[in-house]
This record gives sequence, structure tokens and C-alpha cells, in this order.
Amino acid sequence: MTVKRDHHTFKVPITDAFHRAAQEFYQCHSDPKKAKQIYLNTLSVQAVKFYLACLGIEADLESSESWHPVLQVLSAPSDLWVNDLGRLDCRPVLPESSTLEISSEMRSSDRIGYVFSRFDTTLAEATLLGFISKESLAKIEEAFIGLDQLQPLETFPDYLAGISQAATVALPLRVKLQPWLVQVVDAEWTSVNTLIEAWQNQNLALSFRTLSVKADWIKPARTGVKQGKFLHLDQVSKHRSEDQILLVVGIAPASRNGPAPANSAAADSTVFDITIEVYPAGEDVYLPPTLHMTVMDEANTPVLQAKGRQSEGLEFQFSGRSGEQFSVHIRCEQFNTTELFEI
Amino acid sequence: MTLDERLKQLAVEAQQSLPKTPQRQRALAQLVDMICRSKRLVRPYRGQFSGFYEDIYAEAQQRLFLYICEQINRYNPEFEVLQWANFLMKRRFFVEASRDVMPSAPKGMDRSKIKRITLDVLDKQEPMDLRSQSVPSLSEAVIQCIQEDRDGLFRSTHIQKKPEATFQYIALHFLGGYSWKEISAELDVKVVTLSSFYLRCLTKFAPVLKAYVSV
Repeated sequence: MTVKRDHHTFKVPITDAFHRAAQEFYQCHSDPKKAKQIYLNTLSVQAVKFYLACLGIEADLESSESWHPVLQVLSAPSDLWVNDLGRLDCRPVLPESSTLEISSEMRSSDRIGYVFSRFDTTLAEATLLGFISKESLAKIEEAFIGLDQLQPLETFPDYLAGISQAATVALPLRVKLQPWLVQVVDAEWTSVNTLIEAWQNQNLALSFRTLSVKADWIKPARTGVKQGKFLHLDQVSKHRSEDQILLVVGIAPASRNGPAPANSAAADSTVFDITIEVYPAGEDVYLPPTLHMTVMDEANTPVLQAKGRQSEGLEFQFSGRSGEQFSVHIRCEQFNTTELFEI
Repeated sequence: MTLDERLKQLAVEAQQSLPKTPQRQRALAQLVDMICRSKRLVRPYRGQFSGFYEDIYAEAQQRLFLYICEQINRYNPEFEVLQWANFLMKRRFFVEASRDVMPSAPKGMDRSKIKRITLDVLDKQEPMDLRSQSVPSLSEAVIQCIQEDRDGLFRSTHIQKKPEATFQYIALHFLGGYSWKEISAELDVKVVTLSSFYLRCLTKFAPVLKAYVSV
């Protein structure tokens, strides 16, 4: 047997375990058309997850919208959450179809790409045929495209690597906090009072009461300095103030000096109290439930973690010595940012 | 180039590139796909495990392919890739898969109920056949939850400058069987704007919706 070198595909043997998951979701839907769609979506999401596992890429079903019956009712999602990268859509293709529909939902979704898997009539195997990247999708004007217009699957690893690089390259500069105490503040940070004013102007539509309630949550710095900045969670439409949060960082000379570590070389270094706070700064009174904030030490080990869980704000307090470095990582769905600090 | 030569070339290519690089991923994906299509992967213990064989084999293949991708450095190029794969399939993965698949099927239980549904069956069968009739439909529960709108979230979230185009209105019409086009005409909002707003809302409300409608 000799081998032709053509576009490669990827065959996934479908196990009963895949079918069981599909059947469980299938039974949640009474409309046969919807139920069939959900059955096939569930199989194709699992097939793509297997393909990614072979590539050494982790994906999480529980964080995928396709994995929840309520969301299946509302939109028949076929997404797979690929860790740290975003939602990859896994579309099933029926055995006889030669064209793919590019629906309006696809055009307006937040997916990082679409992978298409063809099923055989016995649903015993899925064949990953190719994909469409987010960028290519934006260029497609037709409502239907041929299967031959898919991007070849062998370029998919490079595509994913490109996304993950783009997500990590733009590391911000490390912000030094001590100079804040002598009124030297980096351009992107603004004093909390000024921020609250700006925010009030932005939100004239909101009732005065809501605003003052929100403004009350932020405690003014007693001894040190607090600076903040707005973060736009929806990076696609930055002009929307709806999905905005306020990050506030405070530094103050330590109220009481804790015991110095025994082996501390820098015995004269000063201890500071650091506060990290986030507040909802859009129309919502609560933080997005999926918001996740982590403070990491110099070695990037998470030391403090908290989830939005629809709270009115999150606050971390800790002490550190002059020169110590830490970072604050905030994640919420597609949004992902790391702020670097030095005391 | 013969199939064996090509497989060996891919395996060595994968070994020589760093883990998690696109080069390695490309080589591994192609290697696994070619093994799968070669029709030369051994099918051990044929005629045994009646009724379960196909599932055990699918499970064993998945485990074998994952192993090959994760442990490609263990492949010794003095042998053919298929020799290595067939050895692993026979001696390890089929046996492991059969042990894990068999006990999950309780004795006397009708396996056809949790077995593979084919496309034909999907087209003919009413999903309700499979479930007890007393359970209220999930879509009804979702509709009710959005109508109720316990915390007022769904009626207060709307498309910018279109206070009547609330998530509640859009979702209820969508679930009521209206097309995006019809809702778009009704509200005088472009289809793209409408579906983009709707999908963003779903992502935003997902945790709330999951909490409201317990499944």
C-alpha cells in the first residue's frame, strides 16, 4: 500500500461513553429536531475534545455551554472550552452534506474557531474535516460554503499556537507601588476619587441612589494611597460601559510591623499593607459570577483567589516588603488580564 | 513511500520536535489518523465479548491513540509503528478497555437502551419515547423561568437604545419558534445585532440560568 499525501483528516472512534452523554442531553428535549441537533453536537464536542487531547491540549466540558441542558434549550451551542484560549465550536456534519451553513449566529459569536466533524450513519465514528478560523469567518460573505473551502486540519495546531501566543505576548509593565506614596503615579492609574467622578459622568442614566451605593463600597485610603483603573471585560466592544469593572490597588505603610522573617537579609526593608479590590462599574450591581481574581507571588504561585459569584466587590489584603513582586490575574469568560506590581 | 515508511517518518518527526509544538502536534495527529485508516490495526479476541465488542474496540482505540501521542518517545524506530501499536493494542489496551466496559453493563439490563443510536433512529424516534412522561419538559421550565424573571435581570437587560428589545422579549420569542428574521423585523434591529446581543446575554446569564432551572 502506498500513501498519497493529501489534506489530512482525523478519525475518532466513538465509544458508548460518548453515546451515553449524548443520550442524557437528548432526553432533555422534547422537540425531535432540537434533540437530534443536541445529540450530534454532544458527540462532536467529545470527538474534538479527544482530538485536542491527542495534541496535548486540555479542554473542559463543564465550562462549555454545550454541556448544559438549559443553554441547549436557548441556543443549541456546540462549543468546547479550550483552556485559557476560549470557546472552540465543534459542528457536526451529516454524512451526505457537501455544504455548510454560515449562520448569523456564527457571525456574531465569540468563538475562536469552528471545527467540522462528519459522522457516518451508524454514528460509530467522527471524522474531523477541517476548520474555519475566526478571521476567515469574518471574510466569508456567502450563506453556504463547500466543504472544500474549509481550512486544512493540519494547519489547526499552528492556528491555536498563534492564538495562545497572542494571548501571552502583551505582558504589561510592572507597576511600582512605593512611588505612589509620594504622588508619583503611572499614567494609566487614577486616584479613586477622580475615578468615581468619571464613572458617575459615564452613568448619568443610572439612578443617583445606585451610584452612591456603589461609590460607598470603595473605602477611601486612610493612611496610604489608592489608585484605580477601569477594565473592559468585553474586549470586542470597548465603548460599552456595561461590562466594566473597577480595579483598585492601595498601598500604605504597615499599620503595625509584623515579626520580621528570621532569615530576612533586608532587615531594614519596610513593610507595607497592600489592598486589591474589584467592583462592578457597569450597569450591574454585582460582579459577573464567572469573574475570577488571583494574586500570585514572584514565582507565579497563586496565593489568594476569589470568584465573583455575584458579589458586590472582592477585596484582598496582604503585607509585603519593599521590592517584593506580585501579580494580579483577572479572568472572566474571554477576558484575561495580568497586572504586574512591585512594592 | 510505503505506509510503514510514512508512519515511521511521522513518528520520528514527532519524537524530534519539542512537546506541545505545532510541528509535533501535526505529526502526531497525522500518525494516529493513518494508523486508524490503515485497516491493519489488530482486532484481538474476535468472536468474544458478544454485543460489547465494538464498544470495547472503540474504547481501546481511543486509549491506544492517546498513549501513542503522549508516549511517542517510547517508540523504538527499529520496529515498525504498526508492530508497536498492535503489540500495545493486544497486550494492554484491549484488555484494559474490556475490563472497564464490561462491569458498566448491569446484568439483565437491556443494553440497547443505552447503546448507540444511529442517524436513522435519530430521525424517526421521538426523544420522549426514552423518558418518563411525567417529567415536565425542560424547554417549558426554561420559558417559565425567563417569564418569571425572579431578579428582574431578563427584562432590564436590553439592546442599547432599544428598551423594548429586552433579553426576555427576545428569548421568549425565540423559544416560541420565531426566526431571527421575524424578531428582527418586529424590533427593527439587525439580525446580527440581535443574535450577538442574545448570545452575549446567554454567556452572561449562564450561571444564573443554571441556578434558576435545576436539571
